[in-house]
Amino acid sequence: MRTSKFVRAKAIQVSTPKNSGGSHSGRLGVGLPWISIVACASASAHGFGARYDLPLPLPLWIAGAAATVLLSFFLVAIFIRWNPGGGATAELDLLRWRIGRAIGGKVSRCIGRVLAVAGLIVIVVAGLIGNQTPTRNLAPTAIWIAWWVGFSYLSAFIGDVWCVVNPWAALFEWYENSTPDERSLGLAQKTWPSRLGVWLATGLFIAFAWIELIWDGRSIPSHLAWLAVGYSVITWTGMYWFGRDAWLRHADPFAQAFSILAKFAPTETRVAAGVTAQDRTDCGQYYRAAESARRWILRPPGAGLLVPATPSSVVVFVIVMLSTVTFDGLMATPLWQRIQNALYEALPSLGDSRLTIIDSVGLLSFCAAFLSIYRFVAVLIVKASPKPMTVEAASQKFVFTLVPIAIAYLIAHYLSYFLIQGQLLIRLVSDPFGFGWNIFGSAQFRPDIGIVGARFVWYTSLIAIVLGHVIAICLAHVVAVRDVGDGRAAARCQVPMLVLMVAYTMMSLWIIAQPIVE
Amino acid sequence: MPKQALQAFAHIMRRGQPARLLLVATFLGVFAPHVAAERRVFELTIHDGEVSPKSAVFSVVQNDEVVVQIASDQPMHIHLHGYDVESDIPPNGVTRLRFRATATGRFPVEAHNEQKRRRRPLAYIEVRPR
Repeated sequence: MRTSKFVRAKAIQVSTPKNSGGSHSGRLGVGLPWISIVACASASAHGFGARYDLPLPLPLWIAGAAATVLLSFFLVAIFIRWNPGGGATAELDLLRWRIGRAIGGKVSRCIGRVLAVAGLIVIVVAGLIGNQTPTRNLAPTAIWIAWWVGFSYLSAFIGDVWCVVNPWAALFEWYENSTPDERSLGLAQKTWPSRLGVWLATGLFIAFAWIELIWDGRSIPSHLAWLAVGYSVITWTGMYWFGRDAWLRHADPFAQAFSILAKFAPTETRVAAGVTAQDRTDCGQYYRAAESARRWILRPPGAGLLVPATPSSVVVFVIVMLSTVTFDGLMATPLWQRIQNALYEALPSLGDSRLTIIDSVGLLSFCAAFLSIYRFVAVLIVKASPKPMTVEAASQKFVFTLVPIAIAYLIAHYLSYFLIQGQLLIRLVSDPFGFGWNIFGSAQFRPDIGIVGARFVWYTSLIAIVLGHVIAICLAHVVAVRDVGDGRAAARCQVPMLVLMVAYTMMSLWIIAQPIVE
Repeated sequence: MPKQALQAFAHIMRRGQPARLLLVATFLGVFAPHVAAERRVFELTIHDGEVSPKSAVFSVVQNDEVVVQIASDQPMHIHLHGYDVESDIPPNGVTRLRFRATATGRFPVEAHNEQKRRRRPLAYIEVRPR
């Protein structure tokens, strides 16, 4: 009720300047087609990827924040007594059922790969020769919504599907198989220089994030198609020089990103031979192994994040990934708009590309800030830990425990966008190039912007964020106990991480409580 | 059923304070928003590229009938995103975007001219759930 009063006051206020234009409306009103409500099939040139989320209302924000803080204290109180055993988590092999064997077998991988390769070809061709209006061309929607958001969700909630269907890997593997060269390109165990770690993937991921968040051409179909071509050249050259698996594991930003999200997922592929829970194998090895040695594991969500330690370059990759995802949300807030405006006024010497420069510097500083904060927390963990350890080791142990918070934020931030903008695909499959075709008869489909209501999105976001936070805290405790061995000591050395997690969760909540501006 | 529900209601109303408060809140939450949809009229004026009111957010409740009347000294094409309502304004003219706010969300109203690429929306329309 209060809202409507507030609005009425506003409406009255609005009517004041109207008087000057009132005479026009009377005069022109007679002969003009006043309301031309156009069923807008072509939408607008720039209207790609708009989000229509209502900000999380204050009472829900307060409830979320309170739950986050209270649950944190509550969990710590429990942790002081709780010593999770070091044993393996509950697991179930899905291959014991026929349906599991069918889904986890080579035939379904082949189908998935053929579809992925076909999709890639159609997207690139659409981008190159199709209508260049972003909403009428398959490429922007397929790349940004179906692939990037869609595969993030699949990775986090199903498993590393990208590793199975990756069309670049598939095409390269088929090429290898067709040239029976004794060098056997992909399988050649050319060693990846260990100094390089995943730094190359990190660099490429930052470039990708810049394209996704800042670059003006990100929704122009032909630009996206050329980027895909460029990425193909880089990927296949890399696979040729370093071997397919080595490249995917160390240098490919998407294989890396999706596999990190998939550590949270409830399923994982493994190869049996004396494998401990830590020996995570990617799906390449799984499919190469004999059928009897394959395992397709169902496990509690998040169990895969309990990796004992990870190389420092992977730590940086994870933090960079988390920071770019959060920066995406921050960029749409009024706060960032004010910062942008202030800098825009203050720096006239930078010329026309000022906004791009401001955003780019913002992205990089945000990554740097996340990295330094995480480093600082690692220092505090070392101080609080009863066992001597290096800062490096501390940061390597805990980094993956932040992933559930990021996944929760992915749901909160992208769910309605995914469900609303994703509907464009129904229309686009019938007319992928924007030539006016109607292959499946769905070319006239209009997205239903009411498919999910605001209330549904609010509660889903809130529950996801609080749940993600709880999972993260529990994982961090398991890691700490495994390291220190005693619940009380573990809880103490976990406090810095806990503070970081509360801050990170609060930031996610704060962002979804902000109105989205453009 | 209604009789039993009424009895349960009366019972709870006689019992403790917290339960009563909760019930009243639930009752309000369920029934109060179902007031009749309103007709809401908002106005925007664009003069010399200045929009007044500046960066407005028009807030309505789901299912309201909304009319946004826009007067401009320059010809332009107006587009309400999401609902995809579009209209042209002739020079020194007025147009009205008229729609029923069936879907919740926050939707930008934008003016499309030929030249400028990135423009801030003229206003936002917030459709709140009932």
